[in-house]
Amino acid sequence: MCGLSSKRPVRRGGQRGFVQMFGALMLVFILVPAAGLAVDVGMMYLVQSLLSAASDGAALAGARALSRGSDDAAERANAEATANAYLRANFPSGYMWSTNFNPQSQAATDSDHVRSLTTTASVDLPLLFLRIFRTESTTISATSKATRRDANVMFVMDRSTSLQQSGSCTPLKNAAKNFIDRFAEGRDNVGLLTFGTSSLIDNALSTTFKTATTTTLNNVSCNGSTNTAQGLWQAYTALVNLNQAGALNAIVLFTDGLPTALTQTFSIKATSNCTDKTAKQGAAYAVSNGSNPSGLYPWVGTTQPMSSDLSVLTTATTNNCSFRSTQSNLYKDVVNAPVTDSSGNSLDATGYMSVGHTAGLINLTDFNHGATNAADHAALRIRRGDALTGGQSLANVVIYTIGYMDVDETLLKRMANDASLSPNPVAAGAHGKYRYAGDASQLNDAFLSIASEVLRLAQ
Amino acid sequence: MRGNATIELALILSITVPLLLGIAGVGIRLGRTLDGLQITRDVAHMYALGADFSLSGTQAIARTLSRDFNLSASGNGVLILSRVVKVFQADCNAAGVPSCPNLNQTAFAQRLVIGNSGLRASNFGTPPASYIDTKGNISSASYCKQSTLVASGFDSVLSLAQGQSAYLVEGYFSMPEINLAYFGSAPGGYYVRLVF
Repeated sequence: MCGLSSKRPVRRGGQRGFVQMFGALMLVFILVPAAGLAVDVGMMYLVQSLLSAASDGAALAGARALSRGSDDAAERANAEATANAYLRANFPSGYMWSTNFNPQSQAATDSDHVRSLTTTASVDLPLLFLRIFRTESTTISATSKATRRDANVMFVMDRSTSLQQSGSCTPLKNAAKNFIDRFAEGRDNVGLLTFGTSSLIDNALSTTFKTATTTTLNNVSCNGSTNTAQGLWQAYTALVNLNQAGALNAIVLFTDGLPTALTQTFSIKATSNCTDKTAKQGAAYAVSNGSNPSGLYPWVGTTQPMSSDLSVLTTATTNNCSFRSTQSNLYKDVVNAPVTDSSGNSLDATGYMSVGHTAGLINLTDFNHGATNAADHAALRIRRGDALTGGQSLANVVIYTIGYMDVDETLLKRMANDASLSPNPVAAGAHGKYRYAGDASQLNDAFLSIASEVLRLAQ
Repeated sequence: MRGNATIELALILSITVPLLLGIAGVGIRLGRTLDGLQITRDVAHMYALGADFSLSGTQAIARTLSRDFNLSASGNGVLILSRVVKVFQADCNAAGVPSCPNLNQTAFAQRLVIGNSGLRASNFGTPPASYIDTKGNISSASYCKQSTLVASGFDSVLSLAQGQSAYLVEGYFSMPEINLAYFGSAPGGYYVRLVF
């Protein structure tokens, strides 16, 4: 019978300290290098992320700075200096023991109406653990690019009597000058149109606009009614004629009240005293709905800037017309208002305000509502890129509106297609912005806000 | 010799476990630091391009972008958005403040805070709430003349040209539970500042 026996494992001398040795080897060859690799790679990630963010911010700021300067060369130099300064501001010197920080920026013209700013930044990062592989440091770099489209901006400025009455004409002109100064001379095209009962492009779209528009604005008098539809369409016509689809095309409308005036071709009543019974084109206004319009006035200004437009038409064709002696007697001369104004804007298409019809014409007593609807329709047609009479058109025009004091904010939001108005029954085309200024002290901020929006969109 | 292996293992573990924990801590902290930096960058980029962070919808986007941090009023992160401008004479004239007390100084034109404002204040000062409207805007009439609206210390970071504005976003992200490493900010958190 065999007895049970057991054998205890014999520990040989060669196995002694195996765990210690294995642990030490693992520590030296795996854990410490792994930890070192993690630290070094982590630092590289962190530096790369911050450098990339710094480069991104610098490129955007540099592209914005392309607006500053007297000509293209000065603007580029400003942009490059600005971008380098932002790079330094965003990436602290010696961050994570880095050395040889090298910010570089380059402004370039990409196409006819697009300029760009490219930033490249590099830095040497010393390595802590990877030195065991004879790698003392590594170079980390980041590149960003931002583009800026040239902006073509028609500034459509209400200069109606109410601005003079509220003492706002001078603050308005100061804010407008500050607004125009934000754009880049030599690249951006800026024009100025002022409107009251009539309107005039005081300064055509031009890349040399700062001095000219400042002079005009200094001489503007605030006088007249509010022929918004005509002003908008004239501005659109100027942008269409400039024909720069690659640029950002924008209309900035400032107004302090509801549209009250329209330019139309009125048929003359058979009972009118007018010697000449042919239809007459002119501007008329009605300060409130329910009252007959007064007129007729010249509808396009001839002197720059328009200082007054309250002299009725005194051509030979208006001899003996009742409105020549008393403006409010216009209703004795003309049949009701045509459905469209002289620019093709409809007095009833958008239906924003109710208007009555008689024999296919708009009742004269609804002339004021018709003027509001025409402005609404003009903005819609512009955003849609409708064709001019000659067939030319321009897509993607953005409308910005600035309302001052007693304005219809809903109307101005509709006209700008502001995203805050939802739903917008006349939503079409690009989204613009509406800004409101409640008093003279807020005018400058409203203008700066819109300038900022235009320039941001140009990027 | 019995128990030698256990002792050796204990010795080894006494070194490796803290080392592994340290690696894990640094790794987690690094990940969250990178997340904080990325959310700050994303918001700064959007802010500079015109996103309106006074709107709740836009703030919700910022909260969605922030994966590791809670940007609520009682959360563990805060983003301080400021638009600063170098005050110049034409701006003051247009604002009806021709005397222009803050001429050539950098002042706040907007201030918005997303997240837990109690975590940290801006490094450049806090404009009094009485000058800030519901959209976070500060009027030019105010920043042209109120000394409390000057962004103190900003010029040492970045010198703006007259009339130039900059979009400043400061982020602070609290992570007291992973305070194993120190990335140059206040204990327990990560501060980052980006100017766009």
